Amino acid sequence: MKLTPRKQVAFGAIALVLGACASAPLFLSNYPLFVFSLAIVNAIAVLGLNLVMGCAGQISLGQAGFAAIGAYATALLVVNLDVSYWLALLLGASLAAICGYILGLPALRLGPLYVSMVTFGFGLIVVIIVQNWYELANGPNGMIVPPPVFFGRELFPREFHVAIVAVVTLLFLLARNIVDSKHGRAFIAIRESELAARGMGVNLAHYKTTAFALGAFYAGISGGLFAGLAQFINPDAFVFPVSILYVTMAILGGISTLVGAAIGSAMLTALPEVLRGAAEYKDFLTGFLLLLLLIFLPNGIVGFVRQRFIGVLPAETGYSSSGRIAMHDVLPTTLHRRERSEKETLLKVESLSISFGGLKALQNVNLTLGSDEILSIIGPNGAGKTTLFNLISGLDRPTTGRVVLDGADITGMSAHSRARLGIARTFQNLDLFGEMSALDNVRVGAHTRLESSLLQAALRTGAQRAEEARYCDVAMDLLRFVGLERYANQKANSLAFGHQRLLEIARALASAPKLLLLDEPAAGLSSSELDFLMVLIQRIHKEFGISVLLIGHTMRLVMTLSDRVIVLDHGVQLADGLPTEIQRNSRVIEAYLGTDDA
Amino acid sequence: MTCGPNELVVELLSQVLISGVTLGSLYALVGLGFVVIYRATKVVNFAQGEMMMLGAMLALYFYSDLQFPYFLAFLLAVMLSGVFGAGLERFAYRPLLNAPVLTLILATVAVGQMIRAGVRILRGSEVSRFPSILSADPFLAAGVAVTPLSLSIIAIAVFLVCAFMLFFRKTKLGKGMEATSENREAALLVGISVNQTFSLVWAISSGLAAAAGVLLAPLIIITPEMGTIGIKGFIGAILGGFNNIPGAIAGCFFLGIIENLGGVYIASSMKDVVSFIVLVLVLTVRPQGIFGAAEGKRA
Amino acid sequence: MLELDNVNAYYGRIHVLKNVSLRVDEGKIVSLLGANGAGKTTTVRTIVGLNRSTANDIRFEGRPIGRISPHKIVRLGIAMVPERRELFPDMKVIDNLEMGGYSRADAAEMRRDLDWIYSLFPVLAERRKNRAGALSGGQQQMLAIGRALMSHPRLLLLDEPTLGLAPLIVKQIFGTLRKLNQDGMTILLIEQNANQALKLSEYSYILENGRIALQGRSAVLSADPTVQRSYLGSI
Repeated sequence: MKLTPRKQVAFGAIALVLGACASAPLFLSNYPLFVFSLAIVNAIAVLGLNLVMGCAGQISLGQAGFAAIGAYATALLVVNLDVSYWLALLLGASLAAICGYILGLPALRLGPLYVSMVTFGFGLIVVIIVQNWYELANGPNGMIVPPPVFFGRELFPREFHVAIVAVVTLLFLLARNIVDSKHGRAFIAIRESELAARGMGVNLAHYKTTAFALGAFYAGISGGLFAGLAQFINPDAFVFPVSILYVTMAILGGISTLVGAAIGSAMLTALPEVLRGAAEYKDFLTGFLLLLLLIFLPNGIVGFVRQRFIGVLPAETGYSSSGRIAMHDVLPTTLHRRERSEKETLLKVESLSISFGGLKALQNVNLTLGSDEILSIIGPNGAGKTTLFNLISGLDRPTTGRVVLDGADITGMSAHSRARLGIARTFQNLDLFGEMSALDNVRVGAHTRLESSLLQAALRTGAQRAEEARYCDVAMDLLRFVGLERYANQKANSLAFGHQRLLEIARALASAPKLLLLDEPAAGLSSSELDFLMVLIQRIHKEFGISVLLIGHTMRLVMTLSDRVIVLDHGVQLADGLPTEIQRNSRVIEAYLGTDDA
Repeated sequence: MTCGPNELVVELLSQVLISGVTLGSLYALVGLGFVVIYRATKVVNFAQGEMMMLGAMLALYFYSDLQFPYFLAFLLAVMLSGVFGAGLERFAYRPLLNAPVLTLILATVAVGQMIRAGVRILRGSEVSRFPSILSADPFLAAGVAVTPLSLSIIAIAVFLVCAFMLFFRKTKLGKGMEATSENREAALLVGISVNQTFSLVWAISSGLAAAAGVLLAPLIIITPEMGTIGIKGFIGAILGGFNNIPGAIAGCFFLGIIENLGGVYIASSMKDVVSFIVLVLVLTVRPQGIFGAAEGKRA
Repeated sequence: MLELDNVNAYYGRIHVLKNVSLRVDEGKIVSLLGANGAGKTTTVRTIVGLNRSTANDIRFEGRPIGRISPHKIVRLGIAMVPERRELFPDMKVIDNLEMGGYSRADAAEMRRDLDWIYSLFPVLAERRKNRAGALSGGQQQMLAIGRALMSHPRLLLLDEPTLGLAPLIVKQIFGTLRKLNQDGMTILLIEQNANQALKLSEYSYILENGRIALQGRSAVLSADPTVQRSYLGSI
């Protein structure tokens, strides 16, 4: 593994911190050690929040509820069923994960409004249930938990501390591996733009529920560890202000970072002990701090530091240069098709109609696209062109009509399934994953080609690493193809507009599509950028055999590149023919320039 | 009149109904505030319950400690809360106007916590009882047992809701608020100051919540934690349909009745659980609420 | 009456308007044309303050208005009919119109203006209790224009008022605009329907990629083949 200067610094720092944590029992007396252990246990719950909220962008106001499930499940298993502590911990966290998954289900259809309510409600309900469950959990009086046992030996708090450090290290590594994999990128893609994520083949339902499950799992471990640490649990430890405390810790450290969890929880666990004020002040200050953070420091401490100092250390690009070869490896299906040399119909749209409310956005549109054609769709504003794209790519369903790809009816298929079949697209007003680097944007484009599971990613198996490296090369090659390799590690929303357009195209190509939908790719480009784009599209079409469906207003682009042109106006198809025919078609001219009668 | 088992059931049910409607009317006051804020700013105001608590606390202070007449205490509590709400908008929420919705929601959570803790600091965690103003002795009306207290609560709450609706639908300011909720840019174009409108929105919502708190005060024990009842107003509004205000109000009454039924037949402490389960069920089946209109799908 | 002097505007980081200068003289109809994405809408939005320009060079009746917040613009006498109408869909027609007069205090005059608008667009009077969102496209457009007129403006800005409308309605609306102008209203019209806009207006500007590519008397421009090329590309 190559150790770039940046990685060296990072490893050094982490090793130092870990060493300090693990050796703390030697230096600290009981009470400070307890606080230290508690801070680490809290950090685990906060890590979970970083995954759910920071990474995947979902609101979770019930993290303490999941911790409660973990804590009580662990305690009950140990006390009542004599299960070994560590097994109970795992089972408790798994139960919490299942609950998290279930809670993620409503999140699929509901916006942030409802998700915040549902997670909040969940947190409240867990506490209420536990408070009233006298028979099993002793209600508000709480449960006493025997000290954790390791291979038959009771662990003293000092030894347990080392165990906790081991657990948090493991969990941190797992989280880090997940974030650095296709799954982590999928989470961030969802956070940045659900629409674009779907277009790139990310299964929203799967990933949202997985995000909640992950966050809940971490909280469950945190709760179970807390049970072993404090050796006493009661409902008061998991009330709503605790969920808020976790959120504050996450935001303080930096919600989109993982390291931030440690910093946030360390500060907010230790501080109240240092201040030793009454509980009311603690809650008030937490709330006040959260508010200040939201207004002035929304990226948290780590986020702030990263923004300021990111240029200091040389950026690593993490790829190996391998020329054009990697690109061709990825597009074998297309190459095979080109060898067939007969013109086939790739896409057929039959009698497609869609209405929004009372407005007929598209009426009876038909088109066929051959596997070797570039087809352009033009028409005045509001004609329904992007709507047509949405129907083809699956972001919307038609009222009537069919969409057929390669002979298969895909009308009912979801967007992410269609991406898997080989449809890729760009967006009229750009829909990049702004906070991700250019390289990562393109890597998300290849989402459907990466096969490794979440577990393989978490454990960083050999197969997963190889796959990731391979598609990293592909992504880098695509960036080179569109001329953006210099910007590989820059955030997508920091690129110039023209470059962003090119980046979207590179991202779309990453899945080795059969059909590329370009929605006004030239809008806003300068004359020279337009020239480059035209050459690019021609190369995509000829060298990679990808069929192109283009929406355009820039007539130079449309008329030069297209094999055929279709004209839409008011949702109705006006004409379908060669570019020169279209330019002379009086109905088309009328549609664009208006009628001549006064 | 004999008191056979049937009569008992009817009596019990009608009592449950009355307390359900009483509670529902209070939920409606709070829920109305939630809906107004949400429609204008897309924010879930997690501090709405705390505004309610604040109203109750202020009323307690003025009425019980300072011995003001009841109506003066009521008025002061509501007005001070309104001003406080406008202040919150100006200093806590306006800086976040263009931040993602999540940030704003968290900000309201933070503010809620601050209010709760702040009251605890100022007043301690002692529980208080609001001195009774009206008799809590039930009398029979049409064979149903009602107390003057619950009747007056229902009356005042309904009056306030209607007053607000009148303001909202008939006055220029009120219509301006509605216009801003429906289309912020168009509102700017016709000359509505969006900033001022937001201040008004928050002030009114806070005032409504505070009124609910004052009305609720004689019924329950007053603690800094009582704000959690406020979230029910929100649930009721979602149940009824956040898109239209009358639907939201209806939902709140509905929730009040269901909760009390659940409290009687299941367990009193499980009332909250019942509410949330009902909420999740309804949302899963019908995300726009029971009375809400389905929002048109757009590309 | 309205002057833009080398105005530059950005949409995020995209340089949308590049040194745009144009003039609308009092009592005239001026049209601003150009293909999609040329910057027409950005121009009007910059005039009313919905988009910030970098220079302070927008003058209305002599005074600079570049720094004035959008909700104060209408008080100066400028009203805009936005692209896609932007009505208050759940409010009644009459309420939408009343909102148009939000910035005014004179109730009697407003009532007179309301009657005048009803005479211009009788269908609005018919459907005044209906929800704005339930109206047809053409009716919504009339409502949008009526709402703008309720502020009793001296300058009317219209952004693609014929978007998505049937030809007959387009004719009707243009007829109304002509009548308004004859009664003294100054109009800046943004249109895709170039032919009709050129017929209606006295002077026209053609935007291409954020710059004024062509300008002149509308009668002269409508005979110019360059205009068609700008929209459909050369043959």
